[in-house]
Amino acid sequence: MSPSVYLRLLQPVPALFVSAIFANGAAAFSRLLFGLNNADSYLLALLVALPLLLGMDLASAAHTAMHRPFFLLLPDAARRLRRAELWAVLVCTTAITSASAWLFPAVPPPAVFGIAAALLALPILNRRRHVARSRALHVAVNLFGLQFPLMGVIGWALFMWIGAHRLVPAMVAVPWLFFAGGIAAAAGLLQLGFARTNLRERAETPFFSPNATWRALFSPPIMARHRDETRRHLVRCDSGHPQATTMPGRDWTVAAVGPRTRDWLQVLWHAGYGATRRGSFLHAQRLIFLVMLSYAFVMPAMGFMFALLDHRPFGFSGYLGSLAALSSADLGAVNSTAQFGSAFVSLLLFVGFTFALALGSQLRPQLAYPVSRERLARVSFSNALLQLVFALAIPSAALQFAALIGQLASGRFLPALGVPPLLLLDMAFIPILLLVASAARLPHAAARIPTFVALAAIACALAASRSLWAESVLRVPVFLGIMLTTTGALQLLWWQTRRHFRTCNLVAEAALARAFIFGVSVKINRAPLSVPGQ
Amino acid sequence: MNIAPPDTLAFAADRVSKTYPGHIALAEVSLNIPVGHVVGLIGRNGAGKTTLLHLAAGLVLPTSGTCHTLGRRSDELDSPELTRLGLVMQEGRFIEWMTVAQHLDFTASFYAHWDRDLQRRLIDTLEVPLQRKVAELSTGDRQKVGILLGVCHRPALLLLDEPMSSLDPIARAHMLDVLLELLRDDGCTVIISSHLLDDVEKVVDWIIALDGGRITENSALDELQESFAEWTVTSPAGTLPIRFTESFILTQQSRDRQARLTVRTREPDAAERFAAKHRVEITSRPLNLGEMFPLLINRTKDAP
Repeated sequence: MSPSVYLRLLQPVPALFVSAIFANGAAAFSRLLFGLNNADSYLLALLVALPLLLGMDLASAAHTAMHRPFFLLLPDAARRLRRAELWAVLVCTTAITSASAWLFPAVPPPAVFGIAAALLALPILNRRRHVARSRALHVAVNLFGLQFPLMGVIGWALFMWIGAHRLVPAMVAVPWLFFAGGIAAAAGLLQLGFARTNLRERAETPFFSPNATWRALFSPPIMARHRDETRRHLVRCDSGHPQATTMPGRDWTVAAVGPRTRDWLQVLWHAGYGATRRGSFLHAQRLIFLVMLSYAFVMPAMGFMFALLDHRPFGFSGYLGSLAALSSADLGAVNSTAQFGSAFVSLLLFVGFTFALALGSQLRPQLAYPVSRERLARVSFSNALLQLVFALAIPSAALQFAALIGQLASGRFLPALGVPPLLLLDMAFIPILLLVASAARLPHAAARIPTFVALAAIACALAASRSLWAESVLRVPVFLGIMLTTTGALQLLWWQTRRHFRTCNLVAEAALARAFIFGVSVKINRAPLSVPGQ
Repeated sequence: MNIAPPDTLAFAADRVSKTYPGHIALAEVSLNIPVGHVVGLIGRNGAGKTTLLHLAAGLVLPTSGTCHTLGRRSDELDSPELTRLGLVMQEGRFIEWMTVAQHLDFTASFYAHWDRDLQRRLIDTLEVPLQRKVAELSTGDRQKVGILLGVCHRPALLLLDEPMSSLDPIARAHMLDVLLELLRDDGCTVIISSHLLDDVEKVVDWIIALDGGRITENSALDELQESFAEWTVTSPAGTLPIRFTESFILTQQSRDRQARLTVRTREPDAAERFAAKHRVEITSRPLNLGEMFPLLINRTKDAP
């Protein structure tokens, strides 16, 4: 396997970017929650979190190829892939060791090399199997399958378990033991990861590496293909399970679908999820993902921003106290400008993920339903809106919960605690404006991007003004302004959606998503995949 | 097929073009399909057959020109028309987690007149596994489910896009029986796109051939069968011209004292006149649709 093929599978730029973000998150987490100093927290990131995260990327690259049925038929593919993986591990280990030697000269490089090599090779054993035998196990496995948000927590846990203060002296005392042990472990792991029996097992299950397929984000046909293949596999896994056909509510009991939008919404929901074991699992997975996202990603990032911008140490109680202020939807209560700015960084992170999630389920109608284009537009729009509210409500609730803990922990009680509708409005305001910007039928990308940026800036500025003037007489007009703009934006979005559905290709993948992201659809339409077979 | 009054048309296309970026799927296609006909849509891969069926179903809209399905513009099709329309796609979209029985119940709820008897009979004859999940079905069984979902509401217009490509010969025969039953009982209009020309020939009464997005043939099957023939020409004197120049000859292969010609002519005495002119003996054999196919799609103007 040539380096270029392996690099295409690996996609090193997004891999490095995402790994760096989460390793940083792990460092921030350890500083905020357990008071580690900067040096210790970055040593944690470099020694534990980064190798594990990069190792997951390397493993994902290999698994992307290994989890295809044809991989077993490719001559000598396993050996070549293992060799490429070995080289990648060596390069990453060397890079981490060099960085460590530069940043932490007191830590012996051979020991760092050994630990990094072992941790980089460890994720190759990830089996990426969907366990269908037990519902609880299934949920648990998928919880741990949410690797990226959890890596910060796992890295921190490992580091705390090993004990930062004991680990470094041990590395100094017996560096070559760490080196030899790490190398042996890495070699063993790679050998095991590419064993013939593993290969056969992997070939039967689909897996799509996030990095190898990141371009698919701009290609709904590929995303839909991935989703269908995974969903089909999940259903196959489910076959033979005693609950599979006896789950109450699984059957469609509506004798005749009525003409109302609500009736057709039911149709879409049942088609998408059903009242099934698998369907409820999909619901649970989304819910868990959002909650985990709130805690494992956004909050450390928020804390990190607080600490960074305020140039001061930020303890657990202070962090949670500010969190309480932030999540009370009264951003005016957050005193410093730095905290205020970081609040918006966090808010936008929420928005980005929830926005993507809400649209992710809008990919395409699964059937050619006997409804007019007008009604399909109405149903799809309502569905997207409900999903957006649902997706925004969960992080909002998570923040409220965190705020409550923060108040209890810090003893800093705020009168404005818990105004979820206002927080929801703030959070919904930005994605809705962004939706409008992306749905605008602007002829050139050169016009779309500035429009998108301008609307995002206006949205942020308006939301920020509401917070700044939270205590002043301007509070009411600004709040009304936001409400009116949001309502107007929604109306505009509805017009765009309806216009799109009047002419769109209902056979193409992502027919529904394109109603909301024309900016992307222009790009997609150039791809031959969007052309149905004649 | 451009003579019926508009209210008796199941589908009409007027100068319809459909283009995709860098690709013309259909170019200036005009045709009228009267109610009650069974139309075979034939053509090579990429000829525009699926696009034409999707246009008829309103799933895609023309880039230029207009389409009318069951009397209504295809971009305005609503429940009254859509519930009279059946579409069976080659690779149907299904809801994978449902069992076949659940999927049938789900789809039946969209239609006021779902024929449970027909459903039961089809399940029995096609041997559809009701309790298996759609995701677990073989390609052939998925196609059977697609057929069930497409015909059990007894549509007035049935669009079939390669409906039998994955069926075994027995299932194909049953499928043809179902089609004939629908035609006999309901006077259903059927447009069937298929490469299985032997099967198509058994049920259709009209042929539309497409090539490169253009219609190259639009004729009754009877008429085609009467006009296309293969002549085996033998010269008793032992000499044949190097090439025959009659305009109704489409292809010719000569060997020694014998030549094999494919011809298209409606003149009943064409063979006698040809034999007299060239002093040859002729044995004539009609062509089946499979043999006509390359001639239909390569020809861009009508034969005399």
